[in-house]
Parts: sequence; structure tokens; C-alpha cells
Amino acid sequence: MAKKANQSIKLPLIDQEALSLLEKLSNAVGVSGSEGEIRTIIKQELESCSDQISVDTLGNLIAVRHATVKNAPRVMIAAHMDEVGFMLVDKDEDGIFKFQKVGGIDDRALAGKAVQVGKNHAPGVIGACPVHLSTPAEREVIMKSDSLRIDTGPGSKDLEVGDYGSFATKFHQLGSSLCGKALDNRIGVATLIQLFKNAPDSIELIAAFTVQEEVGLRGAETSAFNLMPDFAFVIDCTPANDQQAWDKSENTLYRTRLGHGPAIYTQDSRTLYDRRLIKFVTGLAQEHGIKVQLRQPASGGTDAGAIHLTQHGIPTLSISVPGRYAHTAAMVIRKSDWEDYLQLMTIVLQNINSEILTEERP
Amino acid sequence: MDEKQFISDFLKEMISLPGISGHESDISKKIGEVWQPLTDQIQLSAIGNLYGIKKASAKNGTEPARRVMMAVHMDGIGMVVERLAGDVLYFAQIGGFDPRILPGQQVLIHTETGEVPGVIAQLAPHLLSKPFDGKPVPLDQLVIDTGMTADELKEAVHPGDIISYANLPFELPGGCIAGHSLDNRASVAAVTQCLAELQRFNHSWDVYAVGTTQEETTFLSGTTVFDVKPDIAIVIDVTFAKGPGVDGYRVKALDSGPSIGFGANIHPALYRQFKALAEQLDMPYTLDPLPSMSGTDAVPIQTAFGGVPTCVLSIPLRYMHTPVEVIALKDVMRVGHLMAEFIARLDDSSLAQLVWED
Amino acid sequence: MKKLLEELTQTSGISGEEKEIRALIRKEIEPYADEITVDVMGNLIARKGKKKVGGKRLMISAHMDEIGLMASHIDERGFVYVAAIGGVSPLTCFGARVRFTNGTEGVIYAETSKMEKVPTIAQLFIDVGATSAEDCPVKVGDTAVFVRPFLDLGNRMVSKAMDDRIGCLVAIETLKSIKKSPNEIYFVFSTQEEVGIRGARTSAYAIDPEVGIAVDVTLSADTPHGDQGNPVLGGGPCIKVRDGSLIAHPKVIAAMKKAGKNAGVETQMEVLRFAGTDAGAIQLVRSGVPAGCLSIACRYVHSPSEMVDLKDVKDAILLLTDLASKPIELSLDGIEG
Repeated sequence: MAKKANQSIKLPLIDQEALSLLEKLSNAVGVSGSEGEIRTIIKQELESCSDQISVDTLGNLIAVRHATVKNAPRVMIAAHMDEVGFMLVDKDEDGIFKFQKVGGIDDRALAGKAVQVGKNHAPGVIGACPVHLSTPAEREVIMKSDSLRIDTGPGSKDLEVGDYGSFATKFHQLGSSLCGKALDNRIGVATLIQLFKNAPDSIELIAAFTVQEEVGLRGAETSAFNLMPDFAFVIDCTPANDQQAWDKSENTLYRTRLGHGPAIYTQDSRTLYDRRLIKFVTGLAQEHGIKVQLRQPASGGTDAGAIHLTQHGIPTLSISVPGRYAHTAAMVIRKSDWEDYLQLMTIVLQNINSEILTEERP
Repeated sequence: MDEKQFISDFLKEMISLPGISGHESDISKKIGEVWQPLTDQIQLSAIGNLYGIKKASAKNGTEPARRVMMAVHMDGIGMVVERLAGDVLYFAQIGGFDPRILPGQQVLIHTETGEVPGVIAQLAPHLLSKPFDGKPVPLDQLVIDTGMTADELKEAVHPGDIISYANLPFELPGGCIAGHSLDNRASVAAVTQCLAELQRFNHSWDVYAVGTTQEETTFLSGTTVFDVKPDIAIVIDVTFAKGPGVDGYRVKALDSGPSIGFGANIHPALYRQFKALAEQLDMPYTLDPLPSMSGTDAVPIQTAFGGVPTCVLSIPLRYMHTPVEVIALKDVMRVGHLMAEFIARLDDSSLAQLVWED
Repeated sequence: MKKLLEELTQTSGISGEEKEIRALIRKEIEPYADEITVDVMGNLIARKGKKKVGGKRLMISAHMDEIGLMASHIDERGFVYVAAIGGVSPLTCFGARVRFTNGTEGVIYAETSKMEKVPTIAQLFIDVGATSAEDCPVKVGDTAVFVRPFLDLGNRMVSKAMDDRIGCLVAIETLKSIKKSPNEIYFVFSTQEEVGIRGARTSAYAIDPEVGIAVDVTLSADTPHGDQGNPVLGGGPCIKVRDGSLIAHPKVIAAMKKAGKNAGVETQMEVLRFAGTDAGAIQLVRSGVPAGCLSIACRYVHSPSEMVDLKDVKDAILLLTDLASKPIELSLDGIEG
């Protein structure tokens, strides 16, 4: 597919600045209900280029850039700030805590990991029984979070029940990919910050950095209600289960594939996406020679699930960056997918207009 | 009459009444009667939410006055007649409970023509879909026997009739009360205690005491936010009390005071304020870590109508969702008192204090 | 009426793509409605009348979407793998035929020789006669509905999508037969019920009704080894008491019972332990809406051969027409304001 000859839009690239921002966001801790660190980073980034910036009662950060033309469409882009993690719920002894998971973490992803807890990111570990002392039968059983503990060391101070924690993985580059914790959805946050900084004048851009997605799309619910945009896009990170199957049979349930570009949603557990928007976005991608993929219809959901049903309804589309190993200590995303994503959304924002909705929803 | 006796009598009266999810008329009527002299206005919404509105008794700069809402669900769990089978009937549950507590319970069936008493029974093994040897009989195979003949039953009882527990409350030593529906009538009593105390306090915010409908089933309490448009919402519910077979960090001792919730469902500033206030008042309290959601009316209320700063106070209760729930009356009084002290302190600057400390 | 039902059931309208069925219903109701709109979610909303003294804003909702499948992968040999849209049971899929939105038809199967138990939807594949991914006319994201002709058995009728085109039929015929009413009635032919009761929610928010009634199917209990209780085919329209999404408002139940009596129609009471209808979403909007559901007993729900009884349908129309034509009393017993 040839690129459009008269290319007036300068398409963004993933440069060192973008990588540094993602690194900062990935390493910061913002478990659902406690997103302050992420909010602070975003505020620093956007304060100077926002026409309005505010935090609502749930903690959603809303930044607005006005259009310079009249009757411009009001476009909301939502990216959730929160990540899955832990909450300390009971003190055992000597710096050892019982914890509960916040959001959906597979118990099998917990044991043997370094974690960080509390405001000052105190180091800790989730240990496991030494292999020497466990029986083969015991090793057949999943180590449940109830039986695991967070150990912050015998002399640890200033930690108390109620403190939040996360995996302690540091962001790094891995081949042509990026690896870190919480890339679901700091990749979305980093993308939205970039898009906001370079927003076109033709739209009223409302960036909603939402809270509590991982515990039920709760921040999206209130921000959409308060903002009632003409369109909403949701930037998230969606699983790529695209590796080869054990028996080498054809993998029919990959959901998305790394290196195949941004993943456009048709259906998930919470939303049937507006096909007018799907057509619009895939059309632009084709026109500009940007690689995109349709995410397989499957379970899961994004903030769109809450947004599109707000009040009398909001036309909504989710587009995600594919990522492997979501909700674990180490996620992997492909750098090229992120770049394609940024470019696609840049073009989408340049072109979006209310005429898309003059056609009745199919 | 002293307040403790008043609250105790009212609570026992409330748990002598039915008030199954979606069918709360009896209980909301009773609560409305008791709240009437304590408030300026009583309203009932079309779906059954009860509002007791007590206008600000002191003036300050904000016009109209800010609103604080205390939300408690009035409904309890129960059952509904599904179908008749000869001289017994099958039923479905309304709300969630463990069917193992059912055989032998005395119930009341609320029919168009009056109440029909009955007992829940477990049939002989050969009458079940399989014998369930050594296993509990599932709910859909338990029956209610009214002692009527098949013809009498057909005349008196119909599918869709609501069923409630028939047992009456009683007192236990240590200032405890036992009965059904203490979840969440104990919290209704706490709100009533708060209203009673507010008669003596000046408060510059309007106070909305709200009895919500259908918390045990379909969570309709987001609708109260639409009606009240509160600036702060306090949700009061019960939590698990330490008792036989129940221990660990998830449970609180009876008589250990309000349990103050924190987590994503709760505005952190409200949590901090209630904790500080309890300390200031020398009131015993516990902390209730809620890593994701609270499982109370605070879930829909927090995000309704654009969002409300919300917090959760809980009363420890043993044997939740059985007809023999147990609470300590002292905890009820404490929760009421804590809220009254909180509301009396609300002023012009209170809302500005509900900020996110990043 | 049977002819209209045949048309309604045979027209496609998978959740999220209700265009065809919406056009058909729109054509049918246009002469009878005072105002017709289509909203963001694709709901078709027809208003009849204006609120008069003693009247209420009444929302009657029947969902027009049906269950189906969405292509999730085309394999090397041109087989189409799918995901379910709504509650599709793999049991009813073997040998069933489907039609994609672009007209392509195909047959569903799975590798039965390797099957130890009922397969999951993900194990099913659709054969559309293709031999490779390249020559397959179906693309990922394309949707398909079941194909099964309408069967007229006299008093009983069978088709795919009886859930809830039978409700649509009841609503359409009610709209046609209302002569005079104090109520402002909104007939909503809602979308996306099968995937989580979505269209009813946004339309109810916009309409802001004072009372809401869903018209939908419910499971009948009168098959050979059913529990032999309520409801049964031919026993009359069912007044819902509860299901998984709703405890019906006592006054709405009372109004339905009364309308049944007025119309001289036998009714049945319905207690369902699970599932939900549009009423579950309507009751939640704004200040809350007293809501109920009029159900049509249906056998083999969510299979491509759903069966209903003609008399239940006719009686439901009579009941609903009476209900919608008169003032509806809703105030709960208890406190005076």
C-alpha cells in the first residue's frame, strides 16, 4: 500500500524522549484506587499545554485542549492510569504481611517475585517454600495468594495495613521490544500524553486519564458522564497470545499478534464497537499505509464498556497496543506496534468529524 | 425514654417485620414513621427509596446548603414461591444465602389475602432427583409445607408470593440482639441514632437519611444519587464479626466499634477524617481493608451521576444472611454517634478538604 | 399476524448490527407512530401520544437483536473460527447453518471424533466452501446469524430469533391497536439485549420513563422432563415476579394482573432464578423506574428452533393494549409525602 502522496501530517516516531516517559510511567506505582504517582507525572507533562486540567472526585485526571474552529467535535480519549497490584491487609510479624490482589492477577504469577510497597516503594519479596522442603504432590498445587506473604525484611518500618504494592520490575528494552511492569496501561497513558501535546486545532480534545479500570471501569463511568463527548476512543493494552501452540497446530486464539500494528476492537465482553468508527479508522489506516489488525472477538473489556453506555450513549472505539503477559511482573510489547499506534491515532485525530455519525448505525 | 432503649426497641421492631428486596413497603413505612419526627420531610421514591430530609439547623455561607447523605439499605433476603406441587410448594431465593441453613426454618408467605405460615422441609431421599446421601439438599429441591391440603394451598398461595423468615428477635447477654435482617436494619438503627443526636447539634449541611431498596439483589442505590445529588455519601452496612469458625483479618470483634473502610471504593480523605474523628472521640474502631470493592451500596453510589465522595462505615455482625444474625447494640450506637459528630463538624470548607493528595 | 411474524423472525439482526430488522419494523410501524427516532446505540424508538392528565410516560421495550456468531479467525484451509455473540449453546450448533452479513452461508461443525465432551464455541468451525484463507469470503469481525425457516404448526410457531421477535410482534400489534390513552407511550425496539441489556439502558435514559415494561420470552417448564411447573405454552402471557436482573415492581405486577382481568385474559406468574430482560436495565436509570416484564413462554430458547404458542401471543397483545390505554397506579403503600 503506497503512502498518500501529499502527506501534510508529520507522523510521530518513538524517540528517546518517548521511551523515557514510558519508562518513568512504567516504573511508577499506581494501583487501582491509588493512582497519585501517575497523576503527578501526567500533570507535570501536560500542565503547560492544557487549556483546562482538573481532578474529579474519583481521581480521574481530565485535560482539555480547545479547538480553534467553531462547532468542533468533542473527542474524548480515555487511558486508564491504574495497574493491578496488591494491598497489605494484615501484619504477621517482622515485616511480613498478608496481602490481597487488586485487580485480576493469576496466582501462578506471584511467587518468587520482587515487589515494592508503600509510598516510598519499600522493597519486598513474595517468597516460596524451598523446593527441598516441599513434596512433589505439594508442587502440583497452585500457590494461592492467601498462602503467600509479602516480606519486607525484619527491620522494615513505616509500612502499614492498607499500603499498596506492585511488582518491582524495572523498565527495559528487550530486543526490538519493550519490557516492564504495568505496560497495561502506561503504554496508553504515554500515548495519550503524546497525542495531547500534538493535538490538532480542529477538535476539542478531552484526555481522560481514568482510575479504577482494573476493578470495574469505574473512573471511565464518571468521567464519561461528566464529559459527554461526541466520540470516545479508548487506548489500552490487550493480550497477544500469538506464540506457537504446543502441538504445533494452528493458533486460532491469538487474540492479537505482536508486530501487526494497533489492534482495533470489534467485540469484547462489555462492548460491541460502533462499526462506523471501525470503518473510519481502518479506512484511514489503509489510505496512509499503516499496519492495523482487528483484535479477535473475545472476552475482556476496556473503559469503553462503561463509556459507550453513558447517558443516551456515546459512539466509542477501543484501539489497543498488543502486549504479552499482561497482569504479570514482566510484560512485552513491540516497539513498532507502539509507533504504528501513535501514527494511526495522529491521523485519526486530524480527520475525525461529525459526518461519520450522519449514517445510521448498522 | 433513653436513646439506647429507644434504638433497641426500634431495632427489634424492625427485625420483626418483613421487607424482602423489592417488597419493602412494610419496613419503609415503619422507618418513615420513626424518622418523621426527627426530620423535616419524608419522601418515598417511585421505586421505593426512602428519604428523611433534615434541613441545616445552622446557617453558613453556602446557599443552598451542602448535602450529606447517609445511605442504608432497608431490604433483607428472603424467598419467593416458584410453583405448587401437591400440598407443598417450591421456592426460589431472593438475595444470596447458604441453603444449608434452611431446613426447619419457620417462614411466612405473604399472599394477596394475608399471611400463611409454613416450615421449610427437606424431603425423603427417594423423593429427590437423587438421594444426596451425606450431602446437603440443594435449594431448588427444598419445599415449604403450610399444613394445608393441596386444594386449600391452591386457593391460598400463588407463584410469585413473597416469603420471609417468621422468627422474632431476642436479646443475648452483653447487650446483643439476635434475629433476621439485622443486615441491614442495624445500620438503619444507627442512622436513626444519628438523627436523634442531631436534634441536639447544630449542623450547617442538609442531612439526607436514605433507606435504599434492593441492595441484596439488583443494587438500585445509584438512583438515590440522582434524587439527592449529595456532596458526600456515607454508606452504612454490616461486616463480618469474629465468631465460631470465622477468624482472621477479614473479621472484626463484636463490640469493637465502627469498622472504617478504605480502598478504591472510598474517598481517601473521608477515610482519614473518620479515622481521626474516632480517635478524637476516644471511640474504639477497626479498619476495614477493601482491596477492590466494598460489596455495599457504596459501589453504585460512588460512580453514580458523575461521582460522589463516598465512604463506608460497618457494624460487626455474626452469622450474616442467616435468620439468627447477632450484633452488639453498642456498635450501633457508636456508628450513629460518630456520624452525628461528623455531620456537626461539616462547614463551608469541608468540601474543599476532599482533595487527592498526590 | 403469522406472516408478519415470519418476516420478523427471518430477517437478520445480530446484536450490534440490527439495521435490517430495524428497517423492517420501522416500515411496519411508521403509519401508527407519532414520532420515530434512532439513537446512538441503534435503538428504534416510536412515540405514541402525549401525556395527558392521569397519564404517565410509559416505555415498552422489546429487543430486536438476536444471538449469532462473529468470525475470529480464518485458518489456512479456509475454515472460519468464531466467537459467540450472546448466549449461543454449542449443543445447538452441530450441523446448523449460518448466514454472514455479506450473504455467505456455511455449515457449523467440530471434530467430533476427537471430542470427549461438548465442545466450546472456540472449537467449532464454519465451512463456507473455501479452500484457503485467501479465497474465504469471510473476514475476521464478520458476523453471522442462524438460518432456519419459519415453521407454522397451527397453534404453535417455530423459528430462529423468536427471542425476541415475538416481543417485537407484540409491541408492534399493541402500537397498532391502541386507540386512546392518557399515557405517552414509547415503544422501544432495543438493541444489544443478548450481549448484556445495553440498548434498553441508553434509550431509557433518554426517554426518562415513569414506568417501564419489557416484552420478552421466558423459559417454559412443560417439556417431557421439565419441572412441570410454571410457565407452560398456551397458559397465557406471563407476569414476571423476578429473574436474575429484576425484582418486578409490585405495582407494575398489580397493573398487569388488572389489565389481564380487564382484557379477559388468563395469565401465569413467572419466577425465574436467573437471566434478565430489558426491564433490568430500565429500572436503574436516573431516579429509578418502576419496571416489570410481560413474558411469552417459549421452548428451546437460544436454539435455532424456538417455539411459542399463538394464543399466548394474542392474549399478550390484548393485555398490553389494555395496560397501555389506561392510567397506571404506581404509588407504593406507606408514607404520605
